Amino acid sequence: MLALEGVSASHGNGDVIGGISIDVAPGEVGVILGPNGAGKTSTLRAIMGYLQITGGIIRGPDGAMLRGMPPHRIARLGVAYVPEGRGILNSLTVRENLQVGASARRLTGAQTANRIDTVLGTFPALRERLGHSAGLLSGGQQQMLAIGRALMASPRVLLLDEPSLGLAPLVRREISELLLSIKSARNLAVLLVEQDIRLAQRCADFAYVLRRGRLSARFDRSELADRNALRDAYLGHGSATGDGKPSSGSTSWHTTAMPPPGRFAATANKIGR
Amino acid sequence: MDIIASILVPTLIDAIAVLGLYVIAASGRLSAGHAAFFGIGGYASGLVSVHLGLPVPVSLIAGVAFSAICGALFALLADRLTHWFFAVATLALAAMVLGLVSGLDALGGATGLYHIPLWTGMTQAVAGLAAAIALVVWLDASMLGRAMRAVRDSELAARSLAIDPTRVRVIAFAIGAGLAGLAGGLWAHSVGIIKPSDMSLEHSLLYLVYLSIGGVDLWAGALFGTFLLSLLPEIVRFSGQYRLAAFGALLTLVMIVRPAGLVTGREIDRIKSLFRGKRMVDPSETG
Amino acid sequence: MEFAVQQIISGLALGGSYALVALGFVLTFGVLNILNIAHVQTIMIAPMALALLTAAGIPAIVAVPLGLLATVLFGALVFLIGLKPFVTGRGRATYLAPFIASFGISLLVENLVATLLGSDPRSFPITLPNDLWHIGDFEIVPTDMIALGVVALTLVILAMVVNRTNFGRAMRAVAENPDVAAAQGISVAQTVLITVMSASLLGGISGLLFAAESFSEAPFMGLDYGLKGLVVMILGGVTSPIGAVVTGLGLGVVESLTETYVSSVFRDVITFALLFAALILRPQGMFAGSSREARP
Repeated sequence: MLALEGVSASHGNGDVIGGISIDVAPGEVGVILGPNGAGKTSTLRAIMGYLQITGGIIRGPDGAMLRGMPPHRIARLGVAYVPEGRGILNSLTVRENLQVGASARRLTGAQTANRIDTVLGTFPALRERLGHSAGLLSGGQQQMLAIGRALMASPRVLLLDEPSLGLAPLVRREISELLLSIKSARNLAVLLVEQDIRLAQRCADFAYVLRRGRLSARFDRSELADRNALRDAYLGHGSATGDGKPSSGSTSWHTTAMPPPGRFAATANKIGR
Repeated sequence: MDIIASILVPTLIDAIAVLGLYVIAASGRLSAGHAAFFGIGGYASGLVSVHLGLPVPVSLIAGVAFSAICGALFALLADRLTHWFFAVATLALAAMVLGLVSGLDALGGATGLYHIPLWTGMTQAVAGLAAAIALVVWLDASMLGRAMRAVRDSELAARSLAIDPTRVRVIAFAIGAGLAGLAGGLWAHSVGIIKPSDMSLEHSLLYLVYLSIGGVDLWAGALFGTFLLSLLPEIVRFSGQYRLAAFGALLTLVMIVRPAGLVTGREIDRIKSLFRGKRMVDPSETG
Repeated sequence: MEFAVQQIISGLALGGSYALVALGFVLTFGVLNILNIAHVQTIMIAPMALALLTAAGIPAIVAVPLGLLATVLFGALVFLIGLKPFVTGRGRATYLAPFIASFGISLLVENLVATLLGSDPRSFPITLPNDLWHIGDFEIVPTDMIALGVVALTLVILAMVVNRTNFGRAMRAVAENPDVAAAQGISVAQTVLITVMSASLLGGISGLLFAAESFSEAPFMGLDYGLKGLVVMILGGVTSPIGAVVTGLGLGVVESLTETYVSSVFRDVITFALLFAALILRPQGMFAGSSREARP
């Protein structure tokens, strides 16, 4: 499971996201939507420990408090992250990429080989390319490899940043079907960032819309078909529907270095890494 | 007075060389073998005045010119290397020149070139430093100086301004080498001898230490570093290897704590405001 | 002819040591993206430690591993004190600051050792077999063969570790993309530390080989040999381990032949002149691998 409560984070020069509250239970797929620069990637990176958390609580698998931990420790707690652009290690082979994915768990050589076999069951196309350099794969194959690598460590939470980026429509459909199957088969809590609303509509259980670093709205699966509501949430008109966390006015997070008074005054301590 | 001169003159001369290093750094390069050009200038000036019998000022100019040309050639050759590896190349150059000079009997081999006419006294050293400072001040304010800094900060941006980074870096390096050559020439005519150990690796590293600790962004930093680190140990009677070990430790510390060196823009502004008396009040500051 | 072959074998032994130095730089530069000049001092520490230990009566067979251990610890110390402060994201006024700092550390170490142990060269404390081995028509210097053997063994072990172990993969992952590596559960800090220590071990081995080959060692030998190692690294393509090995071996052979047939006084001059010639002809190095040279 993955739960964020009132999370704000910064790169070191003022908060880029604030007041983020997200809840994903095992077996659910949550999507973060929003215009460019809204803070979607930053949210995932904050969960993974790449940003400085300036406020709020992040709960991971087994209720572990993730705030303040470095990325590799968060990975070892069962959170897997597929970054934007896939993050394939081009200087390694396909097999080696998969082996590296198991680093979060101390597996023996045989256990790792077994894991690879299992993962290849979900991604059969990779089997013939095990010895190839990972940089030679096509975009779609790389995406499969990236997700496969993330699954090597048997994670409980899966974070994906724009998995459909740059991929053909057919591949996008494969990805949404893949996500649907693994979320239930492995009881994963999946949180993805997407620009492709149709992909979101296909596989998400709910969606959060981010705008200028803050939550603008939350939509249940059924509400996702409402284009007008979505557009309003993107553009920031009106309040949220359903379970919504209303947007808090027009504070522009990218120009304000100081958080609004009151909310974060108590939690001003900076987390060093 | 003589004792003071014997300590001050080498320091003044070193300051000229370090100003040369400053110019090179302003274009974004690190020269870790700078003493090689000190030596090249010294040997060239020495040879010209000894074998051609020309008056010292002329041979000094010859030394400067020769150093600058060597510098330009080297910088052109090594231009494609990124900063770290350029520095390694300067080390290789210094080692090569050192080896060459030590091995050639025509240059006096390991013992060096003797009987160089004496010429450099306190006045000449001060004049030399003043000339170097004038050059650097002019450079800082000139288009070339601005181009150098543009290249240092971002090669890409500089290109978009129609500045050719290679040309700028080569010119900067040539100027820096020329200044070091001037220093070497002044030195040769100060003690009458120039030997390979005058352009040792140690020397090059000392220049680096002076500039890095003194302040790499301003020519005043070059002077400050040279004077502070040359004269202080004399007062405290720090000698030989202790001094170098201490400098090494100090350099590391300064790089961690204050990477731009001791003298930065803020210090200069503070000093300037002291001279101006009351601080100019910023109109946007209210009550 | 036989004599030439002898020189070539000698050259390969020497070049192998250069290759080890260059590999140490390649490894650390790969994971850290900082060129650490202080690494050259790992060449000096082991022979010096060896001299001290044998003078204290410790037998060579114990002193050699101890000397290498001292080198590894030295490397770790230098990294933790002198380089790590730069890696944990402090604002950098000059991104050359860590590089300059490494000069400072190098200066400190060699002068400290010189102050404590005296700056004069001393002879290598282990007596090696001197009699030439006769293989067919060839007369081989045993030190050369031992050196070649040590180098070969080290390279094989290194290749196995880098290519077949978890740690090797972790190291390559960190070198390519530290953020992605961290997301896989790899501790970047730990990986870098162990890489630095491995590089120091390589430096220590090469230092012992250099000292054995020339029968002498001195506190200032670090930069002399280390500079050649750096040259090999550049010519080999900076990030390419294979480039480092091949170029190193090549340089050793060239040096050996130059010393014998051209001039021994100007051997180093010619070596560096060749570097500049190579730079003119092929600025990207002999083995243009990935051109990821600098990440400011």
